[in-house]
Amino acid sequence: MAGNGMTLACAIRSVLLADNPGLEDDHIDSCLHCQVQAVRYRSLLRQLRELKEEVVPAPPGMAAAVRSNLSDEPWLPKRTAGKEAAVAAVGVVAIAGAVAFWRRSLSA
Amino acid sequence: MADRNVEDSKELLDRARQGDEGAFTELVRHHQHEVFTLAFRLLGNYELAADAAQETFIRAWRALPRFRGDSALSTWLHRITVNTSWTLGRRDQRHTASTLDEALLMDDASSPSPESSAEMAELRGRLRSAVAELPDPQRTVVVLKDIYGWSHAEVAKALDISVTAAKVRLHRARQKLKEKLWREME
Repeated sequence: MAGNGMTLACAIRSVLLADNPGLEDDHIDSCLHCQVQAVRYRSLLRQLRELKEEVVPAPPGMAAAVRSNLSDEPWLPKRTAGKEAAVAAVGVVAIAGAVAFWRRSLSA
Repeated sequence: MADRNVEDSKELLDRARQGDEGAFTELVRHHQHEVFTLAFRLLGNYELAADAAQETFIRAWRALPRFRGDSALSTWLHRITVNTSWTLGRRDQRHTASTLDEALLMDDASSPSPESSAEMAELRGRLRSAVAELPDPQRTVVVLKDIYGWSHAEVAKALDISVTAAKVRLHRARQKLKEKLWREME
């Protein structure tokens, strides 16, 4: 007995109930202490889920503040421009190589 | 109507991914309250949550080209919010926790509906306080798992901890909440 009518079996169920408040077994069926704990867990989890419906309004002007920061940020066109430049550089090297190869084959 | 909204959001998202700042700002307007709410629940501080929400959108803007749309935009934003809040929370230890009650009072629109009973409001207020008083690591797990319905695996991944550690934290947090709530009522 662990006090308040709580047994070792109750302590074990307490851990199991925390993960699975819908747990049903012979001990819980016959133990008033564990039935109370199960009801409390179910109530707690239901109330926590309901908290999700509460919305805390964002401070006024947040969207404008975000937008004003966007222009300082590097963005896709710059990255694309970089990528295009890289592709163009590869193209130029390839063409130069082809021309050199063509000249060499002409002189040979 | 819902389909129309989804289409609008998709169009905004496509334009934002092309670098359209106006379209992205519209998306910020759509999602700012949910992002701020999550940040506030995680951090428990109004100013810090405002910083985290703003930083979340900036990070989202940077990462938008890599967003493949495998998950909903809001889910993706929530993940960024968690990471950002975690980073800012560690960096800034001001944590002069403003309560959710105070934050809700800042907006009349979110006042309790007339039909909600005083008893329910009181119970909910106690629950909010109890969640806010949990240690940071436990509060984060409760918020993500029990309030936002994330799986243990998702929570563990977001916090870079093992699934077992996430479960242990959750168990301890729930025990604390249960004890606190019912001890006060008894």
